[in-house]
This record gives sequence, C-alpha cells and structure tokens, in this order.
Amino acid sequence: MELYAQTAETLGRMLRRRECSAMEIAASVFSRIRACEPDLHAYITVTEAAALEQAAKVDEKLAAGGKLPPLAGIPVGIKDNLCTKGVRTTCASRMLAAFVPPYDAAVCEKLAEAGAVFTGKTNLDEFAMGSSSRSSIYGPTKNPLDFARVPGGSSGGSAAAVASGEAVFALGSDTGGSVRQPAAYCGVVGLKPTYGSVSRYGLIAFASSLDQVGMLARSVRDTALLFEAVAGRDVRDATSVEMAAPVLTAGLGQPVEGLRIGIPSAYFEGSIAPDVAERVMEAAHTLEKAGARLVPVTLSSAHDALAVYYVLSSAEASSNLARYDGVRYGYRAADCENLQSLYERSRSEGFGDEVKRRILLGTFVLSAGSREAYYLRAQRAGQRIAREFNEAFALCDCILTPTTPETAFGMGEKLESPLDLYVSDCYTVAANLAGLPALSVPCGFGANRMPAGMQLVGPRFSERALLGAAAWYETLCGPFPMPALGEWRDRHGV
Amino acid sequence: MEYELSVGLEVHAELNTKTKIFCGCENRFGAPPNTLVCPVCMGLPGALPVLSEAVLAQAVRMGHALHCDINRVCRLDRKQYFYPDLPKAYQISQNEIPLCSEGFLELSGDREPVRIRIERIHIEEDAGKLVHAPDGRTLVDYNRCGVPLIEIVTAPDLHAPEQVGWFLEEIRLILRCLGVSDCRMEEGSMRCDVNVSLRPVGAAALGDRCELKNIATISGAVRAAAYEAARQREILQNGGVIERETRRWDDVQNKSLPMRSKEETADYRFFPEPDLGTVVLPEEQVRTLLETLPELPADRRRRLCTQYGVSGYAAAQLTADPARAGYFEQGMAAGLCSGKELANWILGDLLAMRGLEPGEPFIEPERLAALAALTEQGKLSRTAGKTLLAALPSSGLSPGELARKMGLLQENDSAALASIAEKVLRDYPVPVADYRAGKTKALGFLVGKCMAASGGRGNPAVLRRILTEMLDG
Amino acid sequence: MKLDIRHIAKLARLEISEQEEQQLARDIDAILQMAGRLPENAGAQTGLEADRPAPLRRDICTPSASREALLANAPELRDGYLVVPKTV
Repeated sequence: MELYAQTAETLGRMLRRRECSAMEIAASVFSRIRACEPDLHAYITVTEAAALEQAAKVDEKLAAGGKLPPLAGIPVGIKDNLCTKGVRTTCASRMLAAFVPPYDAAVCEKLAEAGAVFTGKTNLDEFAMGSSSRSSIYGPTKNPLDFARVPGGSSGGSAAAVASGEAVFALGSDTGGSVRQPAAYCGVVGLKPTYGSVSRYGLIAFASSLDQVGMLARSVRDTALLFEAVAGRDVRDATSVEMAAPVLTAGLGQPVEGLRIGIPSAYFEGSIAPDVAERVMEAAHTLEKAGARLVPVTLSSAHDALAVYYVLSSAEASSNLARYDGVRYGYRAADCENLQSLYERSRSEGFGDEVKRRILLGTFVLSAGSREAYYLRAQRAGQRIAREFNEAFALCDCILTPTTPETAFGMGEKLESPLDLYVSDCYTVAANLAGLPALSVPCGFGANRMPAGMQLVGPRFSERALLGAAAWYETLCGPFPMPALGEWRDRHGV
Repeated sequence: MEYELSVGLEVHAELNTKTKIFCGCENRFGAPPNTLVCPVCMGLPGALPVLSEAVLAQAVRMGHALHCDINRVCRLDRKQYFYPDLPKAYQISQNEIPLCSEGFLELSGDREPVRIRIERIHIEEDAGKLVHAPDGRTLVDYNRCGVPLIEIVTAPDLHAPEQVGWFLEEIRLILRCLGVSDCRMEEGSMRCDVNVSLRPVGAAALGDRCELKNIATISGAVRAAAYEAARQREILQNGGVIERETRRWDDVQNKSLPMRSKEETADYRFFPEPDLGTVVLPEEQVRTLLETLPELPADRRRRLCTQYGVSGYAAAQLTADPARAGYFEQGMAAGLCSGKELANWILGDLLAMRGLEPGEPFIEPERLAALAALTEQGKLSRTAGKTLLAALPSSGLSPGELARKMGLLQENDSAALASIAEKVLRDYPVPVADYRAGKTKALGFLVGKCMAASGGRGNPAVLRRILTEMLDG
Repeated sequence: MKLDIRHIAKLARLEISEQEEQQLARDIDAILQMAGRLPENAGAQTGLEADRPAPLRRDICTPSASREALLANAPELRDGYLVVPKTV
C-alpha cells in the first residue's frame, strides 16, 4: 500500500520503527496531490515547501533519538476557514482572497505542537455556507468516487482530500453538518465534537453558537487521534471547556458491553432514499447481532430542526459577516466616493450569492418587528429540540440516524432553489442546535455505488462512547474502503 | 402656560482597568495610533472576546455606590450598526439584562435635597477614534476600541439645568473616589448625553424629548440643558410640537442643532452575544465588593461637618478631592487647631492663593496645623501667617520657632501695646479729635499707626480695644 | 412583518439589483414560510445558563502581534492610521 493510503496510526508506528521517514510520507502525499488535483480540486493553497521543512524536522528529531509528539510527520489538510499565520486564508471568497492572517488558529497551533505536517488549505463553500462546495470562487471540488458528483459541503475539500489520499486526515468545520455530510458523501469518517470541546479561536465565524472544528479521517481511531490532538480548553475562547478524558484508548474498537442504540423513527420517514435507509438499518442490525440493543426513541421536533437552523445560523452569520467592510482587511471596492458606497460595493462585490442570501435572511429575522416572530421563536424551538434529545438519552447511550437523506448528488443538481440544497442537512442540523457530538461513519454503498453514511449522536462530551460504538462497527465490518480515483473514468469508459 | 423641565442623563465613563474589556491590550490614553490593538479589538476574522473580571468588579462597585440592585446573573448583547470606528460592526453591550438596576443618587448638602433615580448601569466596549483629515478622508485609530465603559442611565428626575451640573460633579466624584474612572472629560474618559423634555406643570405624562450629544464638559451639559429647555419652551409656547430627535450640541455657538444625517430610529438588531455566554457573579463576591467600598463623598461630607465642625461648604470643597480630605484629616489628627481654621488655611491659602493641591508636596499637614494653631490663638496675624507659610517649606524649624525667629509673632501683651498706643495718640492729635468728633473711621488710621510702630506685630484686635478704651475713657 | 428587501439590504449594507431583488425575495420568503410553521409556544426561555458561567479574564496585559502585522492586510494606511473615505 502506498504511504499516502495508510492510516495515521499505521504511519506513526512505521515512523517510530524507522520503516519509513517523514520526508517519504510527505513526498508520497504531495505526489498524490499532484496526480489528483487536476481532477479533484480539493485544495485552494498547497503548502509543499513548508511541509517538507516540517517533515525534515521530524526526521531530525527521530534521528537524534528524541520522543516524537503524537502526530509527528502526519500530513493533515486544513479547511480554508481556519487561520494559518502567514498563509492566505480565503474562506473561498473574493472578500478574503488576499487575506493573510497574522496569527494561527488555536487548533493549528496544537497541530503544530503535535508535530503534524500541513499539506495546505482545503476548498469549501464560501464562508462555510453550503452543502456542495460549489459556491467557492475557486471552483468546485469533485467527489473522488465520481467526478460528476459533489463531495458535499461545506468541508468538501477536506473530505475529498482525505478520501483520495491527498491528506492522511483533515480538519473541517461543522455548523449544520458541514463535516458529517461530506464525510458521508465521500465515504470517510467525520466527527463534529461537543460544542465547546475544541477552541474556535481562529476559526472564521459563521454561526458562533453552532460552529465547531471537525475531524475527517479514514478510520475511527484516526478520527479519535486527531480530535485528541486539538481538543481542550483555550483561554482565548470563552465557550471552550476542558476535555473530560482521553478518547483514543487501546480498547477503542473492542465490543461495547451493553450498548443501547436509540433509533428515532422520524429520521427514517419522509424524503429519505430507500437505499440509504436500508444501509443504515443494516448497520444497526450488525451491531445488534454483535450484542448491542436497539431502542426506539421519539424525536418529534426533528422536523422543526431545519427551519430553526436556517433562522438562527443566518441571524448569527449576518452579524459575524458584518465586519467585512473593506476597512481593515479584505476586499475593498475601487474608487468609492464615500463611506456608504465603500461598504455597499465592497460587500456586494466581495460576497457571493449564497452568502448574501443568508446575510439578508439573518438581518431580516433580527430586525425590529420580525425578531419575536422569527428569531425568538426559533430560539425556543431549538431549546425544545435539545430537551428532547436529553430525554431520549435517558433510554439509550447514542442515537443512530442516516447522516443524509440520499447519497452524493450530481454537480448540476439542486441548483434551482436554495431550499432544495438545504434539505440535505435535515438530519445533521439538530446536533449543532443542541451542541451534541455527532459522528458520521461509512456504512456501505447506495444503489448508485456512492457511499452511504450513518450518524451517531450522543450526549454532551460522550465522544468516547460514540467513537467506541463506531470503532466496534469498524472492527465488525473491516476497514472502510478507500475509493479508487479514476473509478469514474473506468465507469464512464474515459 | 408654565412648563416643567425633565432631564435624564446617559453618562459613559471609561474604567481605568489595566487592560481592555475583552482582550489583554493595554487600556491607555495617548499612545501612537493603532499600537494598543490585537486581533480581538480590531475585529480580525476568527478573533473572540473574553470578559474581564476586573471590569465586572468595578461596575458592581459603582452599582453599590448608587444603591443599585446587582443582577448577579446577566449577559451581554450585540448592538449592530456600521461605522468605521466599530471594527466588528457591532458593539458588545448589555441590552435586556443590565448588570445593575434601580438605584439612586441623592443630591443634598446646602441645596434642596433631590433624589435622582438610576435606571440602570451596564458594561460595554468603547469604539475607536476618527480623525478628519484636511483632504476629506477619515483616519481611524482603534486604540480606544474595547476600552471598558460603564453606562449610567438616569430617570428624567433632574428638573433644573444646575441639577445637571451637581449630578455630574457628584458622579465624577464618586467614580474618582472609588478609583473606577479618572473621569477626565477632556480625554473623553467621561461623556454625557442629555435628554430634555418639557411638560405642562401638573401634567402626568412626560413631553416629547430630544437627545443632545457631543457634550464634552460638565458646564457644557448644563448649558445644553438650559438652551434646549428654552428652545423647547419657545416652540411649545408658540403652539408648536416638539419633534423627537437627536441633536448635536455645539459648544462654540452655544446651541443645539439637528444632526446632519436624519436617519430613522436605528434598528440595532440586538441579540445575545453567543461568544460570551452567561455572566454569573458569586453572591459572596458581590457582598465583599459592597463591604469594601471606601467612604463615599456624601458620607464624608457629613462626617467632616459633624466630626470636625467645618461648614457644609468647606466640607464639600475638602471632599472634592480625596487628597484634600486626607490631608485635612491628617492635619486634624495632630490635635492642634480647630477644623474651621485648618480648613480656611487649606482652602484659602494653599488652594486659592497658591493654586496648590495639598497632595502636592508643599508643606506637611501637621506643620500647617501648627501654623493654624498660632493664628487661631491670636499669636500670629493672618498677614504674618501668610509670610510664614511661604517660608516654612524651606525651613526645618517648627512654625512657632520660625515665627519667633522671623519676628512674626504677634504682640499681644496689653502693657506693651498700651505704651505704643499712648505714643500714637500723642503723635496724631488730629485723628484723635476726629474720632472724638464722631468719625469712627479715624480709629482704623490710629490702629494702622500702632501696627507700624510695633513693626507689624501688634495684634490689631487688642490694639483696637486699647485705643477705644483710651479714646472713650 | 412583511419582507422589504430594499430596506433589509440597506441595513446589511448590501447593494442588490432589481433583478436580484425579485429572486432573493422569493428565496427568502420560501425559508420564512418554513420558519413560520414553527410552534408558537415551545416553552419559556430566559436564554441564561446560570449553571454554565462563562470564564473570565484576569486584568493582565498580554502581548499581541505588532502594529505592522495587524495592519498588513489594510487596504489603505496613513501614518499608522487606517483610511476611509469621508463619513458623510
């Protein structure tokens, strides 16, 4: 197996046993990037030179007999809405196309401390708003299993990079499903941790009370490894809290005694594709046969979640994106006569359509006269959703749902109305609203041979339990298959 | 038709904490532009605010000083609008649940006592500064962005322009006394907006009000209230209607003007600040902050009167600066003179004549007290005392010793003075005759001659008595 | 309250053309319809979480990036100030 296709855990072992060097790992990944990028376009910025320097340092340390930090030499992709000092951070937007942050996001600092090697900044939907990665001004990223399909979004670049071997694992961000949905579409593992468990300092904000940095990897244990490297309280983020306990344990992957899995019928009705529903239920039964117990739970307010999400996330987005005004950084329209014109033109020229749509929606729901009818009502409904989850967790350890109602859709689909696109988030948004950890795990393929994903949601700070259930499933089914790039070409005879 | 004035104030005071409210940048006035900034206060993408515990503590202390209820559980809100001095395009403030509410401040002393209700005190961040360049561009400095502010909002309980001045003076005094703010209006660390309305005397409802902004001094606030009251009175008396608006105070022209951009009421789209969560103040901490408050100015004024017998006016003057009051009390501790006499020397000479604050090292309070004792006991005339005061700082001697050395001690001995008086009466028969003829003013002339004959050391009161006895007798 | 796109765009400092206006109004209305179906009374709300108090900062200066680094992305500078057109 090529080095780029190995898991981070395996690479870590190989490094320490001197079976390979960090430079060789990096070389393998960058060569893979060169081969795939023309088709995939998962990256906005590739940072090869710096990465090779980082890899060289790891090899030096190894040669000197030093103890290596946990992620030493592992190539990791960073979604381009996480600030990287000295490296442009664009949010896939004209507004920040030339923005070079003077500081690193907290998670990037931690990854550097852990010895990781940064491959580059991955593509996303503009300002993390979207479910297909098509709204990037740099052009769309393609799904590695089928170039005619989307990788999902907004962390489409990170998911595609991980699925194709252009990175060993990657960080994304998840506000309404932006890590889990692309993970499901690309056949990789995606974790949105408990709100507050990973610092948001340096994550360019979309919706402050919903955003979390998320992890994408090819195995559950790699996901746990990456989460542990970046989790924990940061004094610069007042919403971050201390991590309870390590999640990557030797026992991760072993059967979980007495695991109770809640199955909410509301998530298996309505617009769900039958093949996806089948795959997810098969996964549930696999675990049941191995000793887990399936428990029916009620989440009746599930159908409200999408509306609540779009009202609240747009409201916060309209506020978080108000700072982009052409004054201190970012795009400034040319020849503006006065201040009003500076603001209006810079923002209108700097932002794409989806971003503008959400800003307008958000501004409206907060405006005088609408606040009660929309914003406050959505807040209350969101709290009720959170309460319902808490009540359900009295009966089970985790809740199993499909991650998405269908598998990856075509590049040309769902362009008519924004609502069509929003519906693909319907199973993922509730976890953000309730601040709960949620994990997407590959569970087979749909009728169109595209991956299907199942989602495990747990109580706050139950990452260990969720990863435990997922790792057990992975042990039962074997490692998640890595897509062969060019399958599309094979399939279509190109 | 008679109208009654109602004025409410919104006072903003910058807290003198070491750092800004949401980041660790230094809170300091006067640095070169954009040198006291960081990603947080400049609103860079990805930056997050974290609230300072010191800001909460200072705001709570002010709340206690104004007898407010402290809302131990509260939160911050985003107030959204676009302006170049506001980097995030929102100000983090408090809207629905302020830190302090429902307090009061009593203005009393020599004046008719009046109680001004404090509706709320809340914390918020300051914005940056704009400088208008001659070529029409605007320059922006973010040093002041994120400096902590408390906003004190009163009910419209002020009914005369002078009350506005008293209120602001007292607020400033309290803020300084607590060490919460240095309140230098010229540096902008205290600002005030004035809300003015009139209503017919006896009417229940308040009239339409106008808000006046851009007020830079306390006297400006008083003049603004007076001007606006007059302007509104004239409109109402001519049958007109007051337009509810925000007006700009022009201190040079001494009038209020409509603000240039006539916008509809701004829609601030308040919502809870998601990055800061819920603020919870432990009960114990709130109690400790109350118990450790220093003596407030009103209490100190009362105590100076009752404990030292100074007049209300003198007490107010002494309390106007904590250093003055401290100096006074230290001098009184020496137990040498009365409060009135020492107060006179501090307020009359040190302050009024030399323009010195007692804090400035001119003369130790105990030595001044000793000098005051001499004048009080009649051993030194006031004039001689002033001379002595000038000489004391450069001398190591006690006031008594130096006075003796300089020959300043007053001559009180009746016998010695009597012989001087006799001689003067002999030398100046014309004034003597004038006095006896009824021109009592001639006595002053004779006293003056005696003073001269005694080398300025004669006690004028004693001389006057002796001369009068001799002339009348 | 009815959606007045022009007014909202002004509040958000966005310029929208007449063509955009119609489409945007349609798109946003669709979402508002969805939101309008949320339950009226989903329970009381204070929004305050007294059991999860936000952590506070000590009053200690912390160093920050230099002025040069912080202003490096500024479109226009003059003598250390940021520059914008006149504020009228």
